[in-house]
Amino acid sequence: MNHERPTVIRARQLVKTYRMGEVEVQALRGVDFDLIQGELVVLLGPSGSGKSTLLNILGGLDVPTSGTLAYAGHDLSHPTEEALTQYRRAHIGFIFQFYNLIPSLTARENVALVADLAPKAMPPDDALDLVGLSARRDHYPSQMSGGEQQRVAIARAVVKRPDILLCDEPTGALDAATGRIVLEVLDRVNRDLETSIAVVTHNAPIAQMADRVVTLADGKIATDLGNPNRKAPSEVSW
Amino acid sequence: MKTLQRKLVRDLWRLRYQCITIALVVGCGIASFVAAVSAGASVRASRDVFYEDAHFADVFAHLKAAPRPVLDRLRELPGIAIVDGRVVGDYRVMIEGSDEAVVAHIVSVSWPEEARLNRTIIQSGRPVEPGSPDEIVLSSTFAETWNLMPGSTLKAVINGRLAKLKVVGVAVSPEFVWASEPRTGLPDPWHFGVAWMDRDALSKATGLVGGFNDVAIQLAVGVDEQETIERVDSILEPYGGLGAVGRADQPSSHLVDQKLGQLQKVARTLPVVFLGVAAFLLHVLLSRIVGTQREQIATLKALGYRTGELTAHYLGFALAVTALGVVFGLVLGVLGAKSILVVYARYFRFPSYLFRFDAWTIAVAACVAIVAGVGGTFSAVRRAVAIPPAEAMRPEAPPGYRRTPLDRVYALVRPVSRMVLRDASRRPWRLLLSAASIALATSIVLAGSVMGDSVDEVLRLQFEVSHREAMTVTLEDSRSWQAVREAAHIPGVSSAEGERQVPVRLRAGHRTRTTAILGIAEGMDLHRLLGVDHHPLHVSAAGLSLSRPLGESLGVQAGDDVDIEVLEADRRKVRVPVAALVDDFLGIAAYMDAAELSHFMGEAPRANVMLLAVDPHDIDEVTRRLVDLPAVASVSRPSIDRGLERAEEGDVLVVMRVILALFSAAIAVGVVYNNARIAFEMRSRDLATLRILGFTRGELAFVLLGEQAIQVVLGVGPGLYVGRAIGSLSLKTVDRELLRIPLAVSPASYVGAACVVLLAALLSSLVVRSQSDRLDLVAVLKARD
Repeated sequence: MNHERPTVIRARQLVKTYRMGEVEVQALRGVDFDLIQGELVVLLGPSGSGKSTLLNILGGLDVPTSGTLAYAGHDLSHPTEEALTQYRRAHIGFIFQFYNLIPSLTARENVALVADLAPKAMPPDDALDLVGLSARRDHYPSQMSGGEQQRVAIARAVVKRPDILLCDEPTGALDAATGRIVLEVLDRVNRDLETSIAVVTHNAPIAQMADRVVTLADGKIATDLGNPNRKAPSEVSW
Repeated sequence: MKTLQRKLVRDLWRLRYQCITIALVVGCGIASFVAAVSAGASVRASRDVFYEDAHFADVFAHLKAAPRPVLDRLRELPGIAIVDGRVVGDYRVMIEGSDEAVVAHIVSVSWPEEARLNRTIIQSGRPVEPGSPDEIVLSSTFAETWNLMPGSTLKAVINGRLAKLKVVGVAVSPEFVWASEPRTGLPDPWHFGVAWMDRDALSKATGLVGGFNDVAIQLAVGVDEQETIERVDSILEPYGGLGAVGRADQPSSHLVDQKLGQLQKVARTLPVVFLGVAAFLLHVLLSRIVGTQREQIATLKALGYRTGELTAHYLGFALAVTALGVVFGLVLGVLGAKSILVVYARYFRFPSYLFRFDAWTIAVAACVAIVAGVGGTFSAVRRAVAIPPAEAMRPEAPPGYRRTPLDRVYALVRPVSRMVLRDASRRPWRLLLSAASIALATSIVLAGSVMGDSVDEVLRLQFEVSHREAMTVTLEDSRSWQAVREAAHIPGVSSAEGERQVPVRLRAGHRTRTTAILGIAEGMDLHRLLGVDHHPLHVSAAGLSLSRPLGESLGVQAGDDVDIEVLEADRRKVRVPVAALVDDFLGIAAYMDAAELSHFMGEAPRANVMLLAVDPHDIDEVTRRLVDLPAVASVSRPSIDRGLERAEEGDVLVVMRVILALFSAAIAVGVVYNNARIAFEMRSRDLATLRILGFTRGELAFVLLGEQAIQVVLGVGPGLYVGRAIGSLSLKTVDRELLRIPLAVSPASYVGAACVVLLAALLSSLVVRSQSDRLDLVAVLKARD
């Protein structure tokens, strides 16, 4: 862990309980987690271990049942709706397993959708260039492969130069080759823009490209280990 | 927000068929409102301009005869602006090539024109020349009916002498916007028309040189009309004045006002119901469409869009759909109003129809639609943003099915049917709302038929059950019963009955009404008095029985007294008790036992109307013979009257029925197409899975459309019931003094209403089915997991 850099997100004793249909699920049972500026953290764990729930709470998509959460020293444990929106809008970029592109907008327009919101956003074309999709900018989601759609989602996430990029199973719906391209883009964003990135995956080899690997099991943090030999995505295989 | 706006445009385009069907529903609601309001405003404006331009009088009086100097006494009364003394009379007219008994109401035209009231507006030809002995101008309805035009000639029997008259022009007059035959009050241009003739020529022909028998008066501004009427009456009474009336009671003006009032009532009832229905559907459908975008809303929220921004985005969607509906509504409404005016123009003769658009009321209609649409969207967006985005983006938990007692029933049917039934019973409110929409669609078609069916029923009662005579003969004056016995001997006449009708003014306190007392004799067979309950009316042997609305307008009940002033012969006055208020169904009338009426009139039993039963083959021959009798004022055939009345009511009702059928079809399509489309979008994964498991396209369609079928089946029955209720509400818009319509709905109307809705539902289902047939299985299944 790089302790010279500041902590951007600090979470303490996070508990999250929610209902899924008629079943009550305890997704998090007292989690402490820090995200350091500029690091790339991989969160590993089996299905139902609580990693996606943690990511959603870190990104302000969900609120914890109990516990505290702070971003750059600002408390977000009991946020107002507006504070959460402002937090997501100003600081967070999301990448989802199923891309969640707006089907009625082209690649460029999906990126512009977020650029419209951010004062310091880069031009949408630059963001598409960053993910290597300039040539496909006028295509609709339905005209693109899964990998291309995910790269559009990354461009959409980074266009506003977020402080933190949160990725939920970004390669989960992709084959290995396409997945690697997506990981390379994430790696480049982390290194070039110095964006803090947290990646949730149950694909263990991806951990090799991380600065730090956190493992969750049954709603708790099982291990939290630094990775002194961070590899390039091209060296990762699964 | 440029990109979000682009998304709005794309979404509108993608959902264009749903948007159009919803806009059509809104459009029909607004159209019916706009049509009724604009038609009313247009007729009112046309009437006001016409009355103003043609110097329509304020007070009208008819008398036996008076010398012209009496007019100067009238002019000296306070508050009188213009007095126009005229000679008028009803004369038999012979039209070349016809044996019909036609009566022309001939009105004198005085000079100079500035001193004339109720001026005619010439539509073709020219006015009569001053002093010309044989020129006439005809009313437009009459001229068109008989195909008479400038250059035509006709003969008239005036004062027992045959006069040959030359038609020089065709005109309309504010006095005869609705030219109705005085006895029946019906517009019957085959038997009754209006003509204008030079005053000197008409005076000479009628033997009224230097005199007048009718007067039209214009009042100065701010003068008390009732007071003036009383003063005019006191001057004219010695000359056989029949009592002056104000403009509101002038027959044509009264009818125009009544029809306008009816139009206004129609505008305030049915279209308001329709607008409510459209608003309700707009609310339900938009909230469902926005509901299907739950995941996109969550994504946008995750990307940092504020609830307010998202709400505005979807409100934009609602506003676009509503605005499209409002535009549809305005266009359809203006077209509807114009077609209503075309129908009205056939009966209300104004020189020109002005089109008026009541912007304020229409703005209200548009606002109602916008509030409903925005409200539906707002609540759906609120619901969608209330869920944390993380949860909204997660695939929805499997819907909460649980075992219910109904499962035993469901176990009896095939699994696909079980899916349909479980789905329907899991969301009972949604099912009920959809069924309610279908019910409203059904009710609107039926409501449109109720008026026609009920009018048919009234006509059947009037002309098949109550009036069974083939011919009604009105006599110039009352005659002894001998005349009736003679009529019975005319070859072709199988029986004849006489009736005594006495024109009277009834007074109770300060309220007065003019009507006729009908003498009721035992054993009258050709004219049976019927009540709204279809049973024979019983008329008390002592005292006066009054139509209920007449009694109510006089403020009297059984046991109260009314003063009767006879408007003929010696104008005797007498006070009699009211025996009962009776529920007859047509017009306002007073009934008295025939013997008591003779006694009260101080005469032996007499008749002034004869009812004849005639063999259908002999009707023309009998008419020819009657027309030649000097005592006969007019001959009418109820069956022809019936046809005319049917034609008039029919035109309006046909327009209404077509509009309503289109409206309800739009609703049925709007509801069924949108529900099926939304179900299709929400369940495409289930459907693709079923297809892969080996289900056929037909079975898929069954799963998709089964619930729609349940809604339609649940909705149609109650819809028929509600339609009957709305229809009976619409009957209340008919002037009660004109008609008390018993509610009647024919089986054909029930079947027709159900069919319109079922067909619309079936067509929409077929369209959605063809879309489901083209479902791309792989694409759907790859989209998630």
